Amino acid sequence: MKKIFGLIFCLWGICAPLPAHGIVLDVRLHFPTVTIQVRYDGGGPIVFALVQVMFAKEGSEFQKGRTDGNGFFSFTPDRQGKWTFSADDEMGHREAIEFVVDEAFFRGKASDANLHAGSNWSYLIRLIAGVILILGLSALFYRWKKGRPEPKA
Amino acid sequence: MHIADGILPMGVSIAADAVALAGVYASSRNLDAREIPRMGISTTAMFVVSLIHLPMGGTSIHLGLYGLAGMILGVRSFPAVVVNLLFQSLIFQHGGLLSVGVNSMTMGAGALLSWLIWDFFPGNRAVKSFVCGFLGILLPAFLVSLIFLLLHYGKGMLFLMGLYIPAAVVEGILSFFIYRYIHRVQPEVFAR
Repeated sequence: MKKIFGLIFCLWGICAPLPAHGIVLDVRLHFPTVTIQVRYDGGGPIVFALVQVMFAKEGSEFQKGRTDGNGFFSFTPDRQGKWTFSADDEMGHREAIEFVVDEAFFRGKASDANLHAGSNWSYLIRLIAGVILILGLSALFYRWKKGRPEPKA
Repeated sequence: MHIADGILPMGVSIAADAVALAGVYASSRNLDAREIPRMGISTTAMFVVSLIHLPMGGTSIHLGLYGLAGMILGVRSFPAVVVNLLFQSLIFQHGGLLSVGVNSMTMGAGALLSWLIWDFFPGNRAVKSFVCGFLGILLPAFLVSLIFLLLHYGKGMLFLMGLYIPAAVVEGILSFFIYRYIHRVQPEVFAR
């Protein structure tokens, strides 16, 4: 069994530095444009992802298109308020983010508030948590299924 | 290959969740406690290996080890796939939480096909380990692309299948080597 565990930890070692493929959206507000990078969890850009920009208050579509060869998409908002940006890689992965374009943006003040959709936990921490949870729950289930061991007389 | 929430109609997702739950119940009946550690380790291996992604064609594809799970766990591979997908969805947002049912059925089909090949088809086990690994990921890719085709979603069936053929070859080779390794150090893992 130790060797089987060793095999799993080898796989873990291989996969830890490799990119996963949850979608992450990085939004930069810099007058007059909003630029969003669409990428996979581990960093690889999503090339030509299908994107849609909505003005959240009215629920109306403002723009749609595709990211460029580096996963970037830019648009020029024309009013203050909440905006929604969604991206789809057409492989079954989808993510959306809501952000506010305020007065300061239109006054030309560069906003350094880079918004980010996706988990804030590091990839490795999530990997370790997942492994511990699965093995821990298996152990609990095993214990429950097997029942309490008979006390030794 | 994990389908996110919002791609399938909600009714379909919920119905698929119910069917997957029934599948978990049916495939876990008369479960012996001694099978649980093997299921836990196989689930962990699937969880870990599915995070290995190969950048390809402007997107990324991943391995699954569904074939290997079918070889080791037999029919018990289905609940293992469901638990694996549930944790992938909760922890890595790979696939929607509501879509776990449909993802379980597509990927569980790969594991169950491998079980059928492994247990009921005659032939050399080393060759079968490659075939199980190969088909264990290619069948889910086919089913997902079929769903996308029915929904008129995505870049087309050939595109998705074309992407997953190299992954299937990698998975077949990986399953072959893992089979050889386990067969050498602990052959009873494959016994039922």
